[in-house]
Amino acid sequence: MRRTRQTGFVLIVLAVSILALAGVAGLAIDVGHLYVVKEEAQTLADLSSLAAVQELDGSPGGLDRARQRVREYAATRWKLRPLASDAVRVEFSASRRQWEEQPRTADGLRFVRVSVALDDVELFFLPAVLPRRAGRVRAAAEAGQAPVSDAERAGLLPFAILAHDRSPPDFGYRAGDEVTLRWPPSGRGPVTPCAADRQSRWVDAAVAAFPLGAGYIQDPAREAMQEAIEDGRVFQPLRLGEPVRMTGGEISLQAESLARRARQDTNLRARSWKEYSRSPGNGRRLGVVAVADPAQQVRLVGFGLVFLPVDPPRDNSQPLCAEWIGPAGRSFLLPVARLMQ
Amino acid sequence: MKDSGPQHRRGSVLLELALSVIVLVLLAAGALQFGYAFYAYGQLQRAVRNGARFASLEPYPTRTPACLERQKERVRRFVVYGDPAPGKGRNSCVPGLSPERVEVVYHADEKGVPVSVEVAIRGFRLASVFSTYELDGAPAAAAPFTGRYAPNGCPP
Repeated sequence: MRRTRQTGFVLIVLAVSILALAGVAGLAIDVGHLYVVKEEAQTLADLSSLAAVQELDGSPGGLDRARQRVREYAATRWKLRPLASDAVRVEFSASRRQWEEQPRTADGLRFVRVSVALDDVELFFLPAVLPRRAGRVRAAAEAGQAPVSDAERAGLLPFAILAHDRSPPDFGYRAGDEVTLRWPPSGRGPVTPCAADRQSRWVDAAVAAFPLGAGYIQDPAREAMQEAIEDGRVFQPLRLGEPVRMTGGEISLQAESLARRARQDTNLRARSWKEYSRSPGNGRRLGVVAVADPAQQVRLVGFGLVFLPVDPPRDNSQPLCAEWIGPAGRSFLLPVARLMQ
Repeated sequence: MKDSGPQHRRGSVLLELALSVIVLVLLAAGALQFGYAFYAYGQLQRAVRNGARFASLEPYPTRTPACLERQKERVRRFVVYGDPAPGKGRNSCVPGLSPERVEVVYHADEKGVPVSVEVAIRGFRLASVFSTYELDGAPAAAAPFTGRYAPNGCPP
């Protein structure tokens, strides 16, 4: 009797141990597998939402393109079991409070939420002990067109424009004004700067303050000029209240560098800031310029944000112009996708 | 019927114990092997995702090929150490992973302006408890480029 009970005990201990360890092994494998699927799903949600949010431009076409970007990402990047047709959901919002899959209007929508819901993740061992036959994984990400500061995105342009009024923030300019980045050189005829500076008082102020043909304020060496315009490199620091050194330099090279910088933008169609802000590019057509007061020995009084044309004139007798957007230092919306959650 | 004495019983118990220990060790080893491999792969997936995101926000400096290579090295270090300029003694996210095993590829449009950046693990042997797994091209992640295009820039 005693012998029989001893033999049974070993068997029971063995069976219980094997079951317990099999359970742990199964748990480790199934939970590990779920973890990998969860990370893949999170990658899909994060990065496809970032791709999608760049397409939002206030138009219904933008919503379609955003959905398409998510579909493309899922089709090309998802390497696990094929996704069910309803596994990935794309929603839009203007404020992140209310989300809609099929919004009635695209106007003002600047957030995208991508949710991945997988209800059929394979489980290898857990079904033996749990009633569940497949695992569930949820992942979601919200991305938005975040406000960025102009200094962060646009970078400094090595030009100074004249302050029409020394008081900030607009220095006498209005949004849309065509400001003179570089004045035309002195010639036989009248001096014709860009539209906002054509009044005789501004021309007279410029003639009195610096040699015509000036406007560039960094190192005028050929290579330095290119770096300063195309990459915002600052060779000579600028300090508020101190005079700005306006020089000339090769105007055709300046125009060529400005054009190269502007053509790096992803929106070359826009002819004005108003058009551009409806469907922003990557910000290469924006630049921060110094604002100098001609009545005070061209002292630096502030900074302004300007919008560059795609094709500035290469003719040496012409001025280089840009559109005044507003004072620098403010934030504005660009499709700089940021993960919100 | 043959009588089994205490000697014989002890032998049976030992044999049962040996067999059961082998089964238990195998099960434990399997749990460790696959559990750790899944965990490490998940960590790598997270690291490349964060790396792609980091690269997409950083500048794209192309003054010289060396400048771009320096930027790629920053991304590789970020993937491996979670920091583009890690201090000495910083542990990698997965044991054995080094920056050379991370591939960073920028995709540019016809003007050379970057539109996306892809980060992947290349030729890495993930050492699990009892064996290794070769990872080549996976895990990978691609993010739309939203950083600053700096054609004349160069990281320090």
